[in-house]
Amino acid sequence: MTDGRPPMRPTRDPRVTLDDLVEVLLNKGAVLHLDLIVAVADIPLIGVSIRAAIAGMETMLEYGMMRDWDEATRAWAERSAVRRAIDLRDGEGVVCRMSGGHLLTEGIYTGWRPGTVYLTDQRLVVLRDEPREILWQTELGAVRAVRLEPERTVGGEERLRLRLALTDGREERLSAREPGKLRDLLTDACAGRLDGAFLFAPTPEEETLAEGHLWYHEPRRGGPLWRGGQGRLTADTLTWKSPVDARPALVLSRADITGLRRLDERGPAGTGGVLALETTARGEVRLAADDPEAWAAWLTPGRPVAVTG
Amino acid sequence: MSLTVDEKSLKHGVLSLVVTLVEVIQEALERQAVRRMNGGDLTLEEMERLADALLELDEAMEQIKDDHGITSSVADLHRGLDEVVDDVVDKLINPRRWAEEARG
Amino acid sequence: MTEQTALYVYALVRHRPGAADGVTGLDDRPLRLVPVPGTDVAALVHDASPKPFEGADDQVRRWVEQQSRAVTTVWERTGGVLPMTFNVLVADEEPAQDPAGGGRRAEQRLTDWLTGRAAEITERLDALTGRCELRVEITVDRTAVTARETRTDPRAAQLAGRSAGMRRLLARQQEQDVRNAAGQLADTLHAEARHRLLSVAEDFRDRGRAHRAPDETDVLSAALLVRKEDIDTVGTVLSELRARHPAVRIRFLGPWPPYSFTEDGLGMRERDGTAEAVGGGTRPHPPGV
Repeated sequence: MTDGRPPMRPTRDPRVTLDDLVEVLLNKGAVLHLDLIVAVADIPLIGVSIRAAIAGMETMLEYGMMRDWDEATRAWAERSAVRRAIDLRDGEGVVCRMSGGHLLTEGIYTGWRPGTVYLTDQRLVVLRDEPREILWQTELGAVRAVRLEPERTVGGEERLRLRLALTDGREERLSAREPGKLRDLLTDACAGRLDGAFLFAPTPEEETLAEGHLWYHEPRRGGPLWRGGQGRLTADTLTWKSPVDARPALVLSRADITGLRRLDERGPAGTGGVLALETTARGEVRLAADDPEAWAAWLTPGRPVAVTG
Repeated sequence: MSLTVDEKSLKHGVLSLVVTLVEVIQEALERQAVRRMNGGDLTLEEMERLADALLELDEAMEQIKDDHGITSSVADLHRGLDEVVDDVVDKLINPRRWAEEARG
Repeated sequence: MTEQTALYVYALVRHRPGAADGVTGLDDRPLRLVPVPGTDVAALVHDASPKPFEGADDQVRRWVEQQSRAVTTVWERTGGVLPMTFNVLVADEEPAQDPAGGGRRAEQRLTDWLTGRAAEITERLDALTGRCELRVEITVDRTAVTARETRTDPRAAQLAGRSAGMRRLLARQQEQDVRNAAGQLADTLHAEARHRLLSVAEDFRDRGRAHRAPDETDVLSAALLVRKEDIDTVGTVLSELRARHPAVRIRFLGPWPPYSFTEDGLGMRERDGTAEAVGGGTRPHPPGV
């Protein structure tokens, strides 16, 4: 039953390799004295600060430092390529076109498919340029509501995406070079038919809905221990991780949370900050928050999480 | 941990070091490229040009290593650098002082 | 050996006369117990020259293994042990250090030092008696994750047709997907394993990195202080975890003397003029084989 091999001296195998560190620097790196930008095929990938550190493309974009440069470089590359336009119907006119993409959600796969977004006076189309194919399209009449929604990319940068609700009940997501402009033009093109009060469903899993300092009452044989760390909530999971642990000590499916009580007792965050979650997987899980109202609201079972925006 | 540069040939040693560092940057570039690819903002042409450029870089690196007979010394150096960095990262991510704990 | 004017200290144990009989340590030197008068505690020692053991890595590894084997044997005979690190030497006192001029012998210095800390040492020995250290290292084999948890990019076939560079970049994308999937699986497994192990273990130390093959992702690497009768409970937790997912790899080591749990409250490494840990050629590592 036990996997009892003879004790061996642990060897030190790299857990984090050098390229991972470069990666860490890239994504958290200081943005100082930008001396060199490494672009491959006109796509800027890494900014190198010779004096300070290597700073990440994503980080720099986050601070808006390289946006203009990035846009200009790519625009130039785009201009230099031969573009083919969309096949228009009789009497159809293009309102605007910009590079962008459509989020394909097919089974377990979710991925952006890039192309060009065309808004005409009849349709909204995402066209792949080569080989040319309509990746996705809708008649404007079938658009029920639209809104801009921030999406946190892997690099930590927030990008605005266009979220559409269609009259058949489906939802779609588009990326666009100028999402605000596309939203405005689309709203105009739909000429007042859009449902401004439409309630969008909670955002898909993975995305962080709430994040912040949280205490976890970790059960131990010798009695529980309050530990400080970071709580993170997505549409379907609550995780808690201490900065000294390699991985989260709590990964709780929100479907497993069956009840929530605010306790009157004193916790590490002061009196009244303790929350008791009833869960199917772990029994009672206790958390303490500096902001217990907000966490209680987020964690109350069966309650959809509202996203601001 | 020290990085041993081949004493017999400075050129050989320095070239190994430079090639190793380029490899590290190359790996970072590739990660960023995949990130961009998944991000949905690249057009197909951009993706393809990027992919082909990275392949060319990779082929050039292999060629350089082959031409100068430094394939194995670069591999050693890369491993050595990984270990050094591993130690540094371990020290950075393991400070017990970050722990906030209280019985209760 | 020309002069044997120091004691190499292996461990503090409950004094059981005869517990060190036939036990050998570094370079097969015979060990003996130095009882601390008025207490139930003894030091496990042998005579040595007052110089730290130094040598090539292989040599140090051999010494560490010999030290570990000796400590384990006496631990099993006495039930409680506070193991010392490598190269803990107590030397004779320099005459100049003693105003009276004599200079105490190593054995006298050691017992003086231990007598002063007898209460503390006894308390710690009590806490560790009947306990052992277990090492648990859990990883996820990424080659076993691939098929189940990762997505397949629907663009892949079409993109791969475009160029060799595209195929290469797609392979990188796939690699990263597998890494991400393994990371998520590892998070879930870690939360569960930690929770269940904490309910059994009396003490738990994260060890940072696990030894792992290049295609494995770390889940958990910890030293557990466990009552000897609970070893099977830990084993059950682990075998259940392994049965849950085919990608889980587990190394389960021990039982060892509580190497990772002795440092609390013992000023053994402080320089107080009597005992001091001399840095040797290696870190005090719980050795194996």
